[in-house]
Amino acid sequence: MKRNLLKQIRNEWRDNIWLVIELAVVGFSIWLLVFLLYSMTKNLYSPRGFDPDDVYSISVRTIGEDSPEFVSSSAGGDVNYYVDRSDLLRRLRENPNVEAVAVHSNGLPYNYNFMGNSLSRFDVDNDSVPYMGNLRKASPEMVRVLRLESRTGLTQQQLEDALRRGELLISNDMAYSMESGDPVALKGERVVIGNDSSQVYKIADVIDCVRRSDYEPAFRGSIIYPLDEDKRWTSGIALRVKPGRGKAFEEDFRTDKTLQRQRNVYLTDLTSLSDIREGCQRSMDVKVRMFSVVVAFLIVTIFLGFLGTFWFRMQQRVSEIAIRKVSGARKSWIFRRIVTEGLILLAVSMVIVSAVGWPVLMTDVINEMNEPWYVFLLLECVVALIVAIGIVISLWYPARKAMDIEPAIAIKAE
Amino acid sequence: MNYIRQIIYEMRHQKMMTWVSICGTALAIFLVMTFFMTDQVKTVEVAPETHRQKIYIGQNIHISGGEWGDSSGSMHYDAARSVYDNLESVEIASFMSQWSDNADINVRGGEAISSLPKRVDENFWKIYDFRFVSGHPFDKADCDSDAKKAVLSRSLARRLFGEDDVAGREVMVNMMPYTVVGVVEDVSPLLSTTYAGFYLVFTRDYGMSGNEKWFGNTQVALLLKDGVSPDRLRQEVKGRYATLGAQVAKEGAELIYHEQPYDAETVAEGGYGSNNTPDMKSKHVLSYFLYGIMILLPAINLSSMTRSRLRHRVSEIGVRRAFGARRISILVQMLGENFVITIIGGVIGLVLSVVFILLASNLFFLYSGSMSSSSLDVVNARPSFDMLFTWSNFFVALALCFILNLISATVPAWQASRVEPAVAIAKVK
Repeated sequence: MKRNLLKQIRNEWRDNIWLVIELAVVGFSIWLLVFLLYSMTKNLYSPRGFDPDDVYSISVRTIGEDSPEFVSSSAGGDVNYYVDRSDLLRRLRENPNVEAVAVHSNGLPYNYNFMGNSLSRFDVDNDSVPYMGNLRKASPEMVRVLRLESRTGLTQQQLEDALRRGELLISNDMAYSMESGDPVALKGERVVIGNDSSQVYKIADVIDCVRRSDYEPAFRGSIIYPLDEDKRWTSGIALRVKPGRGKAFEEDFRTDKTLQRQRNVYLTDLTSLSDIREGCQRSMDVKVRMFSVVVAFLIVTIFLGFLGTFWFRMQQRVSEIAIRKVSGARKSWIFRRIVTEGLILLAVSMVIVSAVGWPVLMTDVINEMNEPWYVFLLLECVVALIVAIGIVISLWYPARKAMDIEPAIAIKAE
Repeated sequence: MNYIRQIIYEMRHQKMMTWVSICGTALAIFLVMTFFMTDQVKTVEVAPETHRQKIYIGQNIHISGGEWGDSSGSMHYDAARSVYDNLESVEIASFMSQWSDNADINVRGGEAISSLPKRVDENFWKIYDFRFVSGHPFDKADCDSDAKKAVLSRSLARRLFGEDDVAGREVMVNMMPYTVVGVVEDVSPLLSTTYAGFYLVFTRDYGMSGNEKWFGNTQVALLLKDGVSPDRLRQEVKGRYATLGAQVAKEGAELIYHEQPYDAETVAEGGYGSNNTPDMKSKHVLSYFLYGIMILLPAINLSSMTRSRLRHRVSEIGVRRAFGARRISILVQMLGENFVITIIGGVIGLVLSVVFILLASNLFFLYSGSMSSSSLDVVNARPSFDMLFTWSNFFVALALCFILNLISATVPAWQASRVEPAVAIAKVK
């Protein structure tokens, strides 16, 4: 059977060569796309470093003296934006739906700001491996708002207390780990930020990196810098509501004017972190969907190509199949033979795909993150499997038609 | 007429092959046209950006060295003036804010709406083709005096007042009173340079950012003079950069030029930072490669099917050749017949792509550029029908059908036309 089949494949070489070329182009394209999809999505399920559910962002704004809404000192005591904001923060904390409230600057994830700052050990001259991280300034309650996780087993309360003492939290960091090992070794070190040696900070603990988006790896570390609510002005508030109480809080915020304004400070732009995430990650979400659709399109292309070609081929071989059936060939034999023909063509094309694909995919342009070779091999097997399934499905209809041929009628027609 | 009859007969006779061919063609045209039209949205000329191909955008500044380290971002107003004001290649230059945070806008005592403002000067209304449904734009005197005047989009006017004709009324913007001087038709969020919920006066103060010397919040729209090439404009701007660079050099730093100003496509693409030069050439090469694959793969499929269909007709071709038909006429007939099937599939594919783009393209395509905006209004925006259905798109679809037909049918038709009559007739069983 095998020799016969190979001979038949050779006889049909004009059609087969097109199918092989098509399979090779499609196989390579799917391999490339599946690898890019893998690279883009592999971080989705690694720790984010925070819990995004039930978190909201609010903006703080002030009313200028030239506004008719400005409350002058003669009408309401001293004008002090900090006092007004503190009153608003207190009211937010007293709201029964709210769990924790923090002020921040670049404290929330799902934005692509990178306030890159390096930490150097205070008492070591020319510290050769400074720690580099995204500076996230936040008041201590941010630990509870984002549910930051210690990597050394400290509780959230202990992390919060450390920030209250003016100490820093840093996170794991791929780049630092590659050069200097686990940043946990820095716990307890006294450091300065950048070149500013006027203030020395203690590293209280190491937490999971607060990534900028779900797709991005722990790109450099995070430095949580303590903000004193009463002394430092920032226009961002982050807030965690109790589980499932988001809608109730949104309604409270909309209807309760005392939550929105205190004299010359008012709160606005209440946005859930999930909405911020949607806006921030849209470009990657769209890319993943589009790549997936293109892979599906390529498989449909294979499907149509094989369906059309083999449909005609079966029509041409009616007499041959009829004679084989008369000679005792079973239906399953015919089906197996057709599918084997398709899979042999796939095997030939995968040789071409491997010859072209390995040198191309292993280049730095494609393999930016230096994935090991076995990832490519695994993905190539997955691609071969996907295409093989597509081929078997597309051959099912023509093969069934061939299996159902009535020998007597077919031979009579001939 | 006979051609048509024969085509219909063949289609009915070989139903399976016909359907597979039509589906394959429709799928190919659907995919290519979807990519092509969504790309075109980035440069299509619709109101208010009706001169989009002639408008160039200057934005961002990049300084390296000295106390600046490696800093880049939006330009300071003064730096933008020194580079882009009074250029010989430019008919009108408009200075405006490059980015804005949402602002609260409400009628006095009413509920605040969070909406995106854009600060623009008086020339903005001359470069861009806004349609005023009420009132008029603000003028130079308003800009010089930093007048508290606003132009609202129609949808915002309706949300605030329940009607369009609200020129002369008062609104509060972040608790400051402004007078509405005009109301304009809404702008699609996909037109990133002109899109806003409302427009306020732009002055030097808004184009600065604190006490930063070179950095601020200024963007410039430049309407090119007729007959002037974009390269000449860039050369002129490059010259201005050299002058500004000499001032920056006094601070021990270097001013880096990144091929500004940018055309509409580059601005809409947006996937670049302020510290690098947009690489549209690579993007174009990638696009052409994708289009090539999207056409080539279905063409290979269709070619196999066409060859299969024509094998059925070997005897017919043999008889025709025996009666004196020329090879070229057989070739043309086969191509013509195949073109009909391609056109049917092409029309289905084109209609499907328009429907898909109108209804769901925002789930699969990013119009606003990967780094441009996180606003849900913008990322969820889809093109309108007038942005999609242009004659050029229609002719591109037609040309694609023609190319697809040529690639998929020429070789099989040529092979069929070369059949020797005696051999062909002898093969008839």
